[in-house]
Amino acid sequence: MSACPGRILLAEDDRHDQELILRALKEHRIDNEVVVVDDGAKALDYLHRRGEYASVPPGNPALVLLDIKMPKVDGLEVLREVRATEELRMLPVVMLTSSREHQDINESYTRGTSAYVVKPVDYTDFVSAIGKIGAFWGLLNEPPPGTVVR
Amino acid sequence: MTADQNSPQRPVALIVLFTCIVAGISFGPTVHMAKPVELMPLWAHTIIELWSIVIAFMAFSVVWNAEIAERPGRIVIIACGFLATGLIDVAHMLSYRGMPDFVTASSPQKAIDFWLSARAVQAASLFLATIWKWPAFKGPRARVRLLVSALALVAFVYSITLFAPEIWPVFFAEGTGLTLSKIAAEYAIVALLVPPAIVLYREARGSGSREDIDLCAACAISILSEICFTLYASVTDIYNLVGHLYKVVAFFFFYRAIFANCVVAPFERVKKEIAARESANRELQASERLLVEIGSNIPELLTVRDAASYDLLYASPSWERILGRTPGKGPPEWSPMDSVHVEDRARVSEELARHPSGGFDGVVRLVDACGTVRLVHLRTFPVRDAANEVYRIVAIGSDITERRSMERALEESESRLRAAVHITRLGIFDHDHDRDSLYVSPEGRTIFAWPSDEPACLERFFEGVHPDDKADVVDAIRRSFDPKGEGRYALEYRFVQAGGAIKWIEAWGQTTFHPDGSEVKLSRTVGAFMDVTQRHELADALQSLNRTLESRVAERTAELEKANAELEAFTYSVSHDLRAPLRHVVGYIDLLQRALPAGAGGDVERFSKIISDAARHMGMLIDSLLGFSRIGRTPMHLANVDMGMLVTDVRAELSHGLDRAIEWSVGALPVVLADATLLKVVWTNLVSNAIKFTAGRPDARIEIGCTRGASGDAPHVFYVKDNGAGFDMRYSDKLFGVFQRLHRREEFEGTGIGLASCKRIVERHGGRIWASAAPAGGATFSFTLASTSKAVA
Repeated sequence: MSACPGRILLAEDDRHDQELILRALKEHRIDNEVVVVDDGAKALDYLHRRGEYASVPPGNPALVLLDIKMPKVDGLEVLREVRATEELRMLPVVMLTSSREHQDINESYTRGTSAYVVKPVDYTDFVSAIGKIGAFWGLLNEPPPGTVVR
Repeated sequence: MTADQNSPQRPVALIVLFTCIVAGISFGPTVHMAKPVELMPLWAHTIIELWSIVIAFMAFSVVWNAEIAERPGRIVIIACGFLATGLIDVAHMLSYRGMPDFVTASSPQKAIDFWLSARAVQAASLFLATIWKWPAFKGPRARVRLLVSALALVAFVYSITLFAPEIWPVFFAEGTGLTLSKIAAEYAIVALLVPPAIVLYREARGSGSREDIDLCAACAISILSEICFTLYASVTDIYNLVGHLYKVVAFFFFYRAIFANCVVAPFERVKKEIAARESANRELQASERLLVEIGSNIPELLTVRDAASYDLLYASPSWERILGRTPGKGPPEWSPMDSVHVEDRARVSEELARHPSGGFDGVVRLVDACGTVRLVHLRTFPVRDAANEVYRIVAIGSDITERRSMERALEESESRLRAAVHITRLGIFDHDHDRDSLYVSPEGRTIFAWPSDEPACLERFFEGVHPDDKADVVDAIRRSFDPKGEGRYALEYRFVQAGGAIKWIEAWGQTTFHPDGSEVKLSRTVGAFMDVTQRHELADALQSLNRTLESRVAERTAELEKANAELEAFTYSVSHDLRAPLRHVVGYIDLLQRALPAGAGGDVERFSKIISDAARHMGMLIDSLLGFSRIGRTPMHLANVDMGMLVTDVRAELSHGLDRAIEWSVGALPVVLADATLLKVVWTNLVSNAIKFTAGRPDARIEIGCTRGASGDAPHVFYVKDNGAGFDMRYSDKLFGVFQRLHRREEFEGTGIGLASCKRIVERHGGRIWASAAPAGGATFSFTLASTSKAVA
């Protein structure tokens, strides 16, 4: 469907959420390559191409989906480092979280998130939301320079 | 009469002179012996004798007729003697040679007979008068007897000399002169005169009075005269002349003594008496004038009464002035009883009766003419005459009405002050700089713990002042002693009592000054002081309590902050972690349904729908709960909020997609100071409830409005009224609790958190929310915001 589907990095510690998100993307036939990492530390390793991700070829993903509450390094910390890193600072980052807390929303936008989406409890709503995010950021949105396009 | 004449020198000088003359004649050249001269012719003798006779009669007349009650015996005797002498001298004068016949023919013998008789009577009377201290002759009888005796003596002399001259011895022989008998007789007479002369001389020396001197001189000159008569040879020679002249001089002295005694002295006495009486009168008048002046000026009520009759003799004008009347007159009561207050009369008359001659001393109520009662301090005392007899009673009454009322006012004011000082335990001090004495009141001594019997002094006070405060106290007091300043000080210091207890004292002082020449001197310092130890202890306790409280508050705040942080963490965790499992349940149920083979519906489909609904509902509950918790935690942003616009927005949002007709009635709503976001939650909840609970009614009506409070300060009351299902007022207290429902969820949708949120928001605004309703009768929800929530311009 898409002309240039970029890579999507999904940072999500919950296996079930990972599955449901992947399913929702698939349901919406968003066939961008999705790299799933279990925590913030791994997400940063991936983006910096270090540790177990040292062999990843250069180039940024088209979108990063960040859960906030994650083991080791949380989503807000990842966001802060992304915006602080010269090569990553223009990366589209969408916070995808259960929290509707003001402090989370405020903090995310302060640190420069591109969007903030609360995961709906209703599965239909959930699928719809994920689909819209994927469609917008993965396909519709023109990614910033340095994004690896397959 | 001068003092000079009173002096005895003159008669003495005269006597000396006379003696010298006699001596001179005797021992001088005897010219006269050779050639006798007729020195005393008949006329000269007659004149000289007449002189002495006149003087003798005058002397008698003076004594006899003098208007004196008591005649000195001596003078009366001498006077009578002189009368006899004078009468015999008349015969002697008539018998002198050359005189016409007096019964018988004149002759020197006849003249000498009478002469010697006269001299003898005279000398005898003098002897008699001086030889005895004669008492005064009071009645006339003694002197008449004496006169009769004198006259009898004269008659006897006359009769024998005229009718039996032969009885007399021969005294004079013609040619040879004096006979021896004559000389002897003369010497006998001189001898008779010597004792009176001595007696009188002594008396004159003793008294120095002129009469005595005159009498003495008269005697002495008489003696000289008699001596002359012993010497003459011829009746007309020098001795005879000098003797006769001396006799006249002696008679003059006798007369002067008698005249002085009987006329001058009484007259002098009377003059003195008159002068004394006049001066006494003047004194009396002056003292009377003084008394009247005192009486009319004396402010006291003064009365003088006769001690015997009690008659009023004098009442001072002050009676009229003070009481408008004068006291009652006369017996039986001598007090001004008609002025005495009726209730006092019995007591006063009893006491006055007990002191009949003064000595009453008491306070009496007197009533003046207008009926006003005056308090009078009345005293009575006696006035005694020279014989120490009481003859006047004087009463003095002082009007003490004003003084008494002033005393009473003073007493009251003093007792008030005493009570105030006692109640407040205020110590008073008074430092007299002139005498350097210090007074400290009993309360003050209690504060200092000074015994009442020991003297107060400044040194002792400074000893007691706490060492740390001494410099301040000394400085403050010294500054108050500066005459250029106000002389005032107020300070607080610690005082160490003898027992070691430390007292906090608050003191105020005021120094006064008085000018002393060019300097200004300290007069006195008066002040008060108080034991404020308790106050200080309280303040200290309060301070330490405050410190404790602060630390306790800090502790509690920390605890609260910790609890808040924990709550925050809890809420955060709930927000993140509680919703994920639900999502998974819903998600996987959905996946499960899709995985089921077609037509496998029935129970499986129904069950999975129930599970899915339940999970969704739980998601809603969690969202509501988190929302509710957020309402309590988010900070308030107060601003002017137009309630009308807010309600319009809410109504628009809630009416959107509503498939039934509702009759709206929205009144005018004010602008208030509030948090717009939170208030929107309130309106949304209340209006959505109203919509929800009118669902079953075809004529649904919702009224929104605001009523002003009764008074200006009372807050607005906002309300939402519907005609929906309503509720039972018995459960109204449950309405605003979290998850409290009055209807089943199947009847009306809802999480049971909306009204609890409303309550929390209204209360955060300082207001109140309540509801009234009846089942199926509709419900009214009302709320207020704080009275301070008025919009600010």
